[in-house]
Amino acid sequence: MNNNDPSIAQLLKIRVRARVSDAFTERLMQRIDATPRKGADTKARPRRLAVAAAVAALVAVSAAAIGVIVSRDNSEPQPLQVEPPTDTPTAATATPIAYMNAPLAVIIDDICTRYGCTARYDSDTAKDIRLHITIHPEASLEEAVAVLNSFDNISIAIESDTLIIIR
Amino acid sequence: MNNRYLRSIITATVRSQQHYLFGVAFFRVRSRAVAEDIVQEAFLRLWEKGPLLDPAGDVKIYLYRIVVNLCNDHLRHPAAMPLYEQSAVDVADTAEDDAALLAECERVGTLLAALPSPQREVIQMHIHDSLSFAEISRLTAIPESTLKSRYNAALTTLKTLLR
Repeated sequence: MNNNDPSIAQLLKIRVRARVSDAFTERLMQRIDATPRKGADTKARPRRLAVAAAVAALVAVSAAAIGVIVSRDNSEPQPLQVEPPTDTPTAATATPIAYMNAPLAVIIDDICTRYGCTARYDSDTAKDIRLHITIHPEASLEEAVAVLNSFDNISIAIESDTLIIIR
Repeated sequence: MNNRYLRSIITATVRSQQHYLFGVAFFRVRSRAVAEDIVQEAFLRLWEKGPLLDPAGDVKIYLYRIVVNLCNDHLRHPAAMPLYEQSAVDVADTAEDDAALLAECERVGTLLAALPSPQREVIQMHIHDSLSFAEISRLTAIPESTLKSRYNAALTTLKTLLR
C-alpha cells in the first residue's frame, strides 16, 4: 500500500450521502422571498446611476433654458402640452427562456447565437450535461454564464468573445 | 436587475449546492437541525449581499467559507446561538439516514483524530469537502505544494496506524 493507492483515501470517505430534508428547500425559498436583496453585485451600478442622473439633470436644465428662451419669443402664452405615456415593454414583461433537461451544448449554442460569441470546449464531456435552468432574455452574457457556473460540475470562462467551457 | 431573474439564479444555486453544503456542516456539527440552519443562513447571506452574479463562479467557495465559519462559531459557542431557529425537520423521515451518516462521521472522525490539526484539515477539505488543492490554497492562503505535502504525510501516518 502506498500513497498513490486509493485505499486509504477511500477509507476516509463518508460512504453515506448527506441530503437535506424534504422541507429544507421550500423553507429556505420562503425565507429568501421574505428577505430583500441588497445590491452587492452591482459595483458599477452606483456610478452608472450617477452618470444617468447627471445626464438627466443636464437635459432638464437645458430644456428649462430653451423653454425660457422660447416663451420669451412668443407673444401669447402657449398651453402646456403633456404627452401621454406610451407603454413600452419592460424587463418584468419579458418571458424568461427556460431550458428543461437540455444538454449544455444546446444551451451554449443558443447563448452564442444570442450574444454573438463563439464557444470552445476544453472538455467534451461537459456537452452532454443536462440542465434545468431559466435565463432571462435581458440578462447580460456574464449573467447568463453565472447561471451556468452556479452548477458544481460546470465551469465556463469568458475571454473577449469566446466562451471557454473548462468542464 | 429583474428580481425574477435573480430568484432563478438563487434557486439553481440552492439546488446544486444544498446537499454538498449540508454534508460539510453535518460532518462538523453532527446535528441535522443545526447543519440545516447553518446552510440556510449561508444561502440567506448569499442572497442578501453575496456574489450571486459573480461570473468567476466563486459562489461555491463563498458559501463553503460561510458554512465552515458558522460551524466553527457553533462549536465554540453552542449556547450562544440566536442565529438558529428551530428547524421544521421531519424527524421520522430522516432518522434512519442520520443514524447511518452519524456512524460514518464517527468512524472517519476517529481515524482523523490521530492526525495533527494541519494534516487533518487538508484531509477533511480535500476528501470530505471535495475541494481541489487549488481551491484549498485560495481559502487558506497556504501554497498548493505545502497542502499536497501535508496530505501525503497524513496518508502515510494513517497507513502506519492502520498497519
